Amino acid sequence: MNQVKVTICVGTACYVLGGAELLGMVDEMTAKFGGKVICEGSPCLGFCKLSRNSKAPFALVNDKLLEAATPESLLKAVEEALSEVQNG
Amino acid sequence: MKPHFIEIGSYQLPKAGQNAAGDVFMSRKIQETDRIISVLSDGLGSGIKAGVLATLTGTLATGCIAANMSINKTAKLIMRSLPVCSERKISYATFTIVDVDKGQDVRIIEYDNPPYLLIRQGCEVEPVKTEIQVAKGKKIGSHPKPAILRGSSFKPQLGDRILFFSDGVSQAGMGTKVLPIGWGYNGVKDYALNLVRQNPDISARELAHAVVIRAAYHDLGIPKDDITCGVVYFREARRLLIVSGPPIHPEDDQELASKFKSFPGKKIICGGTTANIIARELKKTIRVSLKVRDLTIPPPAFMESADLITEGIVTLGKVVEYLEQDAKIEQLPENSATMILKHLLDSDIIEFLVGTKINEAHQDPTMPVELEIRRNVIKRLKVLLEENLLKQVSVQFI
Ligand code: FES
Repeated sequence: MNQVKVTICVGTACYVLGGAELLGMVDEMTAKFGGKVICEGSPCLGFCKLSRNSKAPFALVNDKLLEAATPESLLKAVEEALSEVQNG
Repeated sequence: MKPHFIEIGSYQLPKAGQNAAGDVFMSRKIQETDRIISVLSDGLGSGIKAGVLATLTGTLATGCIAANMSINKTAKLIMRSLPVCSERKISYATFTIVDVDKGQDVRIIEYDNPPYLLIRQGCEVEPVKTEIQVAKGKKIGSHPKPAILRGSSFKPQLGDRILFFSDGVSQAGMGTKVLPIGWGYNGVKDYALNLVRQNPDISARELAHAVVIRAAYHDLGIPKDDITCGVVYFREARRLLIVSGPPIHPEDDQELASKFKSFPGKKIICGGTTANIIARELKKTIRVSLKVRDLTIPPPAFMESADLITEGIVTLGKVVEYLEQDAKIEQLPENSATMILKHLLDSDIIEFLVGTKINEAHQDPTMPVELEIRRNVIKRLKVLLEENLLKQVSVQFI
């Protein structure tokens, strides 16, 4: 399985703090990576409640947690994950 | 519990070239005496003047019956009160008044509109009609002939529909090659019966809409008269449950889930944490749809045994906004808030189950206090639904 799974949190905290922009990336990533990247939305992942210091919006790239995710950081994480699955 | 829920729907197209209709359809619900009155009145001619006559008739009819005057007396009063048309020296507005008392007694009085159609189990039923003669109020020149009103009454049964319309419907197409003498009462009847047989759950509004659109089609798309149709539909109430917010005590999670599961009607969860709790208790999986992507509103999600899942506060706030603007659902963008709105419009009895646990995430000083917002949004929603849409709404905090 050399696919990368991206889970974007669409809970209230994440959504209002920038998650909407991450969702805007779904089409772009699908166009760029085709079937190699699978995008999913998720209700509150629960991270926003863990500690005061963690920062929404959250996203998961495979099992790696991305805090204060931006379209750029998400794209970077996806590219890294892709090269990992391809090389290893 | 009332035997039936009464849904009233209407649709209207004004005569081509007139921007005001001369037909009026009006309904009023009187909570205290549990009465619903619907009036369809067609003023002489078309345009503003006709509209005024018809509005006067409608307002008198609903007002008098609301004040507990009998339907016969009301009709007489209307006949006496209508002003006289200065051009034609006659006072004139036709009417059909439908009075539903406690959901169990229907009385209808008709004056010069096409007869109403009672549809029961997909067939036409013809109640006995008695003639009532009423002297016309204003005497211009020679004594006018008394007006003949037709009264009828019956006990409604579950599934009954009363369809009534202005002559713009029955005379549609008149003079065309296909329908030289117009669509006619029988034409309307066959069309409506067919629709009901094909779609036994068709709503009052959909049926009225379909009849009017068909009439306009017979008029080749250019209505030659005001085309108006009203439908009173006796059906089972449609219930909707909206759960928003986790319960204060986690011990209640299971109860919440089982209440949700066993609710007899449509079910919506507004709020991710709440959705997660119910999904966990019912052992179901939530799937967020990434297809509906209006970026101002978090996307909807779906789960077995729920009709819709949405985010909480942002989405409910948007629903309130739409209701406040009296927005037309057809013109709204596709998003979770519109989906909730559609469910609200389609339901009669709406129950909110509101969890009052404070969401830890939102206690960040940069974020407003969620609990308060949730309560206020739902309070506002309740008022809007009750007052603007005449829905029956209850709110329970858990
Ligand atoms: S809203 Fe995204 S983790 Fe809670």
